[in-house]
Amino acid sequence: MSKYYVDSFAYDFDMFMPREKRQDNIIELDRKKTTVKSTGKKTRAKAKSKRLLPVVFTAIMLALIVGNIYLRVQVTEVTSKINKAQIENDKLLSEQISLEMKLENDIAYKNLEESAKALGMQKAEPYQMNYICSADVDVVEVKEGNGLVTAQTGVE
Amino acid sequence: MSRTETTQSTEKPTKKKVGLLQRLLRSLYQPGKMDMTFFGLVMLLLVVGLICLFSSSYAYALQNYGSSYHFIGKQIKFAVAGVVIMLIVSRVNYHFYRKFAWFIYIVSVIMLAVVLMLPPLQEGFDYKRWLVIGSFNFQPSEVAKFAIVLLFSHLICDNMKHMKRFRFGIMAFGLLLALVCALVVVETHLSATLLIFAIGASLMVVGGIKLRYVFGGLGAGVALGAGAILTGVVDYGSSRIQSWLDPWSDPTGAGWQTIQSLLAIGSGGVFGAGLGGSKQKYLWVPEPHNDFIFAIVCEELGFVGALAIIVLFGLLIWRGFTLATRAKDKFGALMTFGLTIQVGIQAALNIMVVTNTIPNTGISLPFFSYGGTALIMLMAQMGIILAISRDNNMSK
Amino acid sequence: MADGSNKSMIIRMFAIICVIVLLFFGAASVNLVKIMIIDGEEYKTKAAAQQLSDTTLSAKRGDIFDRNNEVLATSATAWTVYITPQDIKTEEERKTIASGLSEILELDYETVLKQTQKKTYYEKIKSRIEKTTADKVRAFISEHKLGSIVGLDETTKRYYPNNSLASTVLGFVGTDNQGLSGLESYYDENLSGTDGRVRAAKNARGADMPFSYEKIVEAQTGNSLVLTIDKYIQYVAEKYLEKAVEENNVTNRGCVIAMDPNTGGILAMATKPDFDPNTPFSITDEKTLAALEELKDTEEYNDAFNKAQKEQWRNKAISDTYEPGSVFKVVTGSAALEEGVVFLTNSFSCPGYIVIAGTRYHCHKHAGHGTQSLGGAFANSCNPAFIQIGQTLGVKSFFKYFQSYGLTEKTGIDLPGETAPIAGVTYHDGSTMTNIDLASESFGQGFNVTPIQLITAISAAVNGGYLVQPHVVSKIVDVDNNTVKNYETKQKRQVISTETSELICQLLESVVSQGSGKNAYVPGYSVGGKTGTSQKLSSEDETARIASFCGFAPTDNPQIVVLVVLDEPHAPVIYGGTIAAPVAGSILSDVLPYMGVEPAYNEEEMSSLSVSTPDVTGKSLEQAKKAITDAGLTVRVVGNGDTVERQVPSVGQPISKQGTVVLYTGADQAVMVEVPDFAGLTVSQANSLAAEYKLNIKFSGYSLSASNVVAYSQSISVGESVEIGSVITVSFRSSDSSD
Repeated sequence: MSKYYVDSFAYDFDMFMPREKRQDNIIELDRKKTTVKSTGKKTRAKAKSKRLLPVVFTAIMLALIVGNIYLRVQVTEVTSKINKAQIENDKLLSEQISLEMKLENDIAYKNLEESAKALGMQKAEPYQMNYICSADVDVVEVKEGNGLVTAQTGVE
Repeated sequence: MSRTETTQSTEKPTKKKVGLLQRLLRSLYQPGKMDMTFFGLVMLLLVVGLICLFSSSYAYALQNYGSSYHFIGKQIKFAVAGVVIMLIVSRVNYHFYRKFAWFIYIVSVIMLAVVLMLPPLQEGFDYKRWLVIGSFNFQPSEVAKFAIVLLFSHLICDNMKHMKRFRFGIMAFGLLLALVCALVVVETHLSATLLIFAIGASLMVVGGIKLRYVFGGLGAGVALGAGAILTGVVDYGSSRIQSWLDPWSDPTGAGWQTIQSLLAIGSGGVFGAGLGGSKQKYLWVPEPHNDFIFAIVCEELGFVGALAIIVLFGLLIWRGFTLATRAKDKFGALMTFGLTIQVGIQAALNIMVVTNTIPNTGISLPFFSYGGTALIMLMAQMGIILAISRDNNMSK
Repeated sequence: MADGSNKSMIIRMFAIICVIVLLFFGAASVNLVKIMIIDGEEYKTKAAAQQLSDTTLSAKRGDIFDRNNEVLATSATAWTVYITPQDIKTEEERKTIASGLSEILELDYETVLKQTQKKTYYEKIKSRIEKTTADKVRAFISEHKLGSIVGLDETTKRYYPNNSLASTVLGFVGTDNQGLSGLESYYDENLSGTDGRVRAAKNARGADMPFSYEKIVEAQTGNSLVLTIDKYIQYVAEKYLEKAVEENNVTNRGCVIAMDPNTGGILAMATKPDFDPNTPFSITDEKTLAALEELKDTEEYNDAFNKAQKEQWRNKAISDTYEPGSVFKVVTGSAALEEGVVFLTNSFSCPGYIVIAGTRYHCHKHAGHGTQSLGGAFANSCNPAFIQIGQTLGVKSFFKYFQSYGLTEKTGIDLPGETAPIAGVTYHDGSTMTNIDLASESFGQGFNVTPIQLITAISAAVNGGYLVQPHVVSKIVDVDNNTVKNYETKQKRQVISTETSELICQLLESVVSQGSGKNAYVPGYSVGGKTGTSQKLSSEDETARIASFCGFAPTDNPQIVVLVVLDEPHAPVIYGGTIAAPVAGSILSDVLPYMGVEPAYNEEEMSSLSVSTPDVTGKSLEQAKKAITDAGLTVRVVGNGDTVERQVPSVGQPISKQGTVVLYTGADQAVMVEVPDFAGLTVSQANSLAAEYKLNIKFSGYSLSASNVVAYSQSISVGESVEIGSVITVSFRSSDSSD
């Protein structure tokens, strides 16, 4: 509109004015569009999904973040368990050796002899000892032809 | 809907009891849509706070309580309750509270006095900060904080023109403030004292006291604080000053917490070690779920993350300010402002302590630090701001 | 009620907010920049420094096994209990800690209480406690919530399950698990292994953080030693050595070495009195303890205590030197035989003395031995005879063999503390030796050797002439039992020919069967050896002597050589043949069967062997009598019954062939008798006495027919009341003044 300048006979300044956008059609179309679509299930679904999308997105993000921390928590807990188990293991190993040594001490010759004496045992007499010659060689007898052939395999 | 006080409506002669109740409830009800930006910021800070608490606390929780979820579990419950409370409170007509302004103030003063007379809660600590009612323990200083905001907003709103006068603006308010502060200081809770004083003074300034008194007051406040420290009223002062200036002077004692915090922050670098990636939280930083949670946040999210959170708090304060300017009456404006800067100053103080910008005063970070009752009170206060925002959004 | 915020309000609000945002947050942000970006690296490093701990993984110390893989030493984790006295806050806490710990750890309450009163941060209460005790301490700590005051440090404990067995050889470890003596010290590097390192991120309590930061260099467990020492032979040697040291009041300790002469492997090496490596710093010898008690609270106590400790750790067999005396005659004799200057058929006359270059040397038998063969010279241990042999040999040849037998250098055995011979000090060097020196040295006086040197030399003389390298370790294995190092027999050189060695074996056999070494005789085995009673010329005490004996068996193919040295016995008889030889004899008699050497008894020995008492209880008297006489025993009947109710000795008990079995018929009371004194009686006298008392004798120690054999101990003391028919073991020995 010619708000901005005084009329001139010479020129048609109308041509230089910015054209007003003719929105009517578009508006109508829009209305048509929305009126047509607002009744359908699809529009409701789409509107819903439009609202839902950011929520879902946030939920996923949150889940990822919290999940990340949760995993770290798990690792920490397992590490703590491992440490405790390791310490227990060391303790038990030490106990095992100390008990084994106690046993060894109980059967150390000195203590053994004293215990035997207390039980009334005596040293073995020569007549109580029998000497056996254990063959440390395998003897194989093979019948061959007329006589026996004896072979020996040595066992170290 | 008129904002008349309930007393007026009860003067109406009617035999309908139901009608009375209905009108009572109706006058308590706060209609309107709440400010979604502020709401969004609060929820965002809450969620981020929960995530950070989870990440900071699980190592400490596992070591000392046997369950990694000890802190986060409880905090989530309180958070959910807090959100519910916030939403409910946001539907309550905030003018309702004006009735109880003086009452709440007097009750909190009494509670502060009672707390001082009771023996300390924890052996070895001579802070007398907590009251225990059943299995419920809370700090009277928290109530006092709210009482000051409420009372000052109430009084200033009614008496704006008198604020310029010294006797009223400074003396009266000053006395009210000083009483509370003195009681809290004797508790040896320096940080709460500072906070309450800052909030009260800010409200007084906004209320309209003469500017020269502002600067005078500032000076007086600093002098009081310094005097309290030096004269030994607050007797942990000097060692705190020392470990603030040079934490490495006492690395295993007073400086330990500061050093561990600094190491955590420094390790964060620009982008941080990643969520969950803090090493200092593994029993190096003492109480990582509490006052020093920001240190762990820095270590995990880096400078970028730390700055982002500071910006978040800043945005919250800014939005609160905006809501305050849009408030329909001075009371609403002052309440919004008071509650907003309460969060803001507290957050700022905590971050300054954690970064060793000021000596350690023992103050928690809103939305982040573990603390059920503190969180609930915070959410309730946010609810009040939201209630005021609903009122803003109502058409004239 | 009034209108909304006015302009001034808004401005002021804004101003305050600016203060908050800019001033506070701004300052914090600036600080953040400083900390995170500017100083970020520095803080990261500091943080890493405190989190990343470089922990040393202590390597487990290797074990020590005997030749049959029996454990002699091993290690396990143990704990040290400590307290932080500075952190104790109340008097009650102090008392609780003191009483609780003193009870659990079995310490004196007052001592622990004193420790709690000190002003320190670390006070060791007890070190090296085992798991069961440690658990009790842990329970105590959590019960009383003393976690910040009482704590447990991990450490290692070395176990020696056989207590003092082979203590001077094994040695012991110190507080840092380093070997301080013996094998633990000599092979410390092998046993220690290599420590590992872990670089891990740790939380403030020292436990691991779950970050993949770890760099582990595994610790390598130390290697283990397998020794040549046989636990049983060591035990036997120590048993009889200890008995001899005690019975003969040996004041300067005694030692025994048993060696395999063919390989040089040490089967046993003992010194008595010694110590318990489980508590090496405590003095175990009672006499020493008594002496120290007297000095307690005096200035000299500490020095005396330290001296006593060092004494008890000292391995006499390789560290102490002594003048070998007559045992050395083996060297002189074998050298002369080898050189061909002396023959079996030579005879030597001993009038009781000999004069060399103006110096008169007496024989120990003042009347002299008269004329004797070479064998006789050995058997009599005649000094003049050997002086002659030495002179015939000459200084040069003598010294040649002296050296060849390894007596001028260390044996090089793998133990620390071997004393080295010093020319001119401990022995006369060949270039400076005179005939007079030669004279003394011929019979083993005038120079010093260590027992290990001597036994190695004697082994060379009897094993065919080869000087072998004595060693204690047979092989070194790693933690998976793979052999890391094997010690082969090392023959240093041949000293004498095989023929000469055989001759020596025969000659030394007669020393034991007929000569001064009779007390080393073991029935059923051929044992050879040489006795020695040497003077301690270094001692102020003129009567101080060292009794020694070196024996070996079997003489036709020696499998074991045993050297016994008793330093300064104080007993009525102190000859080597009398007090040292029986030790060797007892050892051999226990060990030879163990080693699988079958005894071959001659007739005489057979007749003195014991038999098993036949079982006749419950049998008819007729049957019982027959069974007993069939076994070659005699019968004595008590009571009038027909059945044997009881018999003495009981079934299976050893009884000598001429013994008597007492049969009780009817429920008669046991007939008792008081044990008489057999001391000093000959075999036949003892037999008569036993028969008189209706007791049975079991003979121990010796062949019955040799001269001058008398009883010196009995198994049941004089005066004790025993049943008739009981068996009493009576020990005999030859009292020939030997050497």
